[in-house]
Amino acid sequence: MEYGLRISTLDDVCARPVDMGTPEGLEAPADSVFTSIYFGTEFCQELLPGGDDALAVCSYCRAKGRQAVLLTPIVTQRGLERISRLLQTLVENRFLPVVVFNDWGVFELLRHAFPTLNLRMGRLLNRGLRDPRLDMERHGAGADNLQRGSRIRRLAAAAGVVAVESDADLEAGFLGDGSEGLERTLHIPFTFVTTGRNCLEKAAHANQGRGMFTRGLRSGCSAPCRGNCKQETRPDMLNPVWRSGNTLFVKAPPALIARHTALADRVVLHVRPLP
Amino acid sequence: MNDYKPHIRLLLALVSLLLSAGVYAKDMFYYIGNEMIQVIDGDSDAIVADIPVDGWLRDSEFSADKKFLFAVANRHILTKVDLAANRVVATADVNSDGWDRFIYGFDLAPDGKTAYVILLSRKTRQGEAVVGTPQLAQIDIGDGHIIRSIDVPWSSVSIATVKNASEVLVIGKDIVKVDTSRPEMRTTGTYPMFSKHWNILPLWDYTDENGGVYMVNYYTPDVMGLLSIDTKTGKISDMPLDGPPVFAYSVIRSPDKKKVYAVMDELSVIDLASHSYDAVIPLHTGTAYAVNISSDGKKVYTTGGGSVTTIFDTRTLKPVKVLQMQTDGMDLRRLTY
Repeated sequence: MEYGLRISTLDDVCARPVDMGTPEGLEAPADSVFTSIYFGTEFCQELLPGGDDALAVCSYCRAKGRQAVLLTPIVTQRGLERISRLLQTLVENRFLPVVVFNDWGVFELLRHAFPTLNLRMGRLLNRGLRDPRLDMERHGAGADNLQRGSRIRRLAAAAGVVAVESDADLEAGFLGDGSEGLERTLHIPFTFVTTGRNCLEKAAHANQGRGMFTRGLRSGCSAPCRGNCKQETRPDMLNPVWRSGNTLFVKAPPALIARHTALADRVVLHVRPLP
Repeated sequence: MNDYKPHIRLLLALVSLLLSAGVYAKDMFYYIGNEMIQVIDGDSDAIVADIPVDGWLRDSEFSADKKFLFAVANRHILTKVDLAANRVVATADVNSDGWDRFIYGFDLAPDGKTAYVILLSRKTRQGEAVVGTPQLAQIDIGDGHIIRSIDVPWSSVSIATVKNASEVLVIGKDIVKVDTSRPEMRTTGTYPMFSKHWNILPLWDYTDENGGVYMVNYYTPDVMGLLSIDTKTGKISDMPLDGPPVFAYSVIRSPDKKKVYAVMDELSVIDLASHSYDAVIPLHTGTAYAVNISSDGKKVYTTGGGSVTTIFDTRTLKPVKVLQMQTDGMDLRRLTY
């Protein structure tokens, strides 16, 4: 088993899973170390790192012998251009990070403009259920269906993608049995519940005034969510959920994590819910 | 040659008897796709017609005379398909007066001229967004105009017209009963679901195929259940199923009323007598939104989500045919002659 660490900034970096408190459900040997550092954003193009921040992470990873993995979100055309500029900066500085894509447009950009980069299929391409209102530790006869996602995995493998990533959704199985030749990666303990363009954090920090709703989606964002998450309380949910930027997360219970971990080659630990 | 005549007469008489007794049923399936409806012959399971349509399709229903299929395109354009000619013959738009409206839930009224829909609406006024209250509306299917309407709760997404359309049940977080028998519609009661911790996504129902029973699945934190509405009587019933849940977008009942088939990433078979799962078969062709069944109960069709229709033998639960459709799809509807 390999271990990766999802960070917001380099201040989050630690050496071993035990240093950050191994999530319940994961049995990581005490001497396990993180071999990869995940940075960037999976959910919001406004949170894509600038060139200097990305260079700093890549430099750190090179110095420490760790793999740098850039997470990319679903994007608009403007976001595509930002990703292109960001990767151009990294490549020009002789860094070749591994890139996680969650958007087929990003995938097309990467394989045509940056064909030397290793690509990983991100967790947003797993459309499995993540409903936190259900008892996530109960699973029915359809659980652990390794066929689930097999077509998209075959498609990705045929297109040269090296890994499939997921979080602990309600039914384990999306990572498959490895027969497609993809490395299987699990993100824990925070599973995303829902995400989208309409961001309450952005709205809460937006200038009040006429047109804020009709023009809000196109207005700029100062990323007030960066580094922040808030726990939400709802009476119809068994499990606690967090809002972080435009995304809701739920902490996967230990039994669910254990079921998913059994199918994973790499586990990525998140320091907190990060969009 | 003369020796054969009695046999031919006997055969013709037998065929005539079967037809007159309604024993022979001809199924046609309509794949509700993207800018396309495709027709599958239920005997050969071959695609026999493509019907171009403008827009992406969601709710659909057959006219009572089985001559037309009505499908909602882009959630606001009612599209009328002539099933003899296999082509669109009319459209009607519910957008008007500057309002963008979105149809969730669609049921034709028995008068053949109107339909009940749930409308979500919005417009902009001086640069500000104005969001209308969700409404149950009776619309003219000829031109889409609203004849009458009543406010309904947020989250209302599906309807069942019951008791010969003298009552409409609006399904969302709860079921709201609306009396439609008088000129002015009025709510008469609520069947609670949210307070019982039910979650429900009633975007697919096969009331026609189920012999007039509206049936969708729901979830509590612990189990899946089946919600049924008898549209003849308006009776609402629910059946929690034993054991941890399987996950399903849609369900359909077998013609003998003994089984229910459910689909999402698996085809699940539910036994109605024991309230339990008989079998759960992974779908090798991927996630499916929709499920339907032949009128003799021998074949189950899973489709939607992706662009394939997979046909299962209900006895062996083995796939017997996979049809590559022209587009991704939302639903599959059956019309039996």
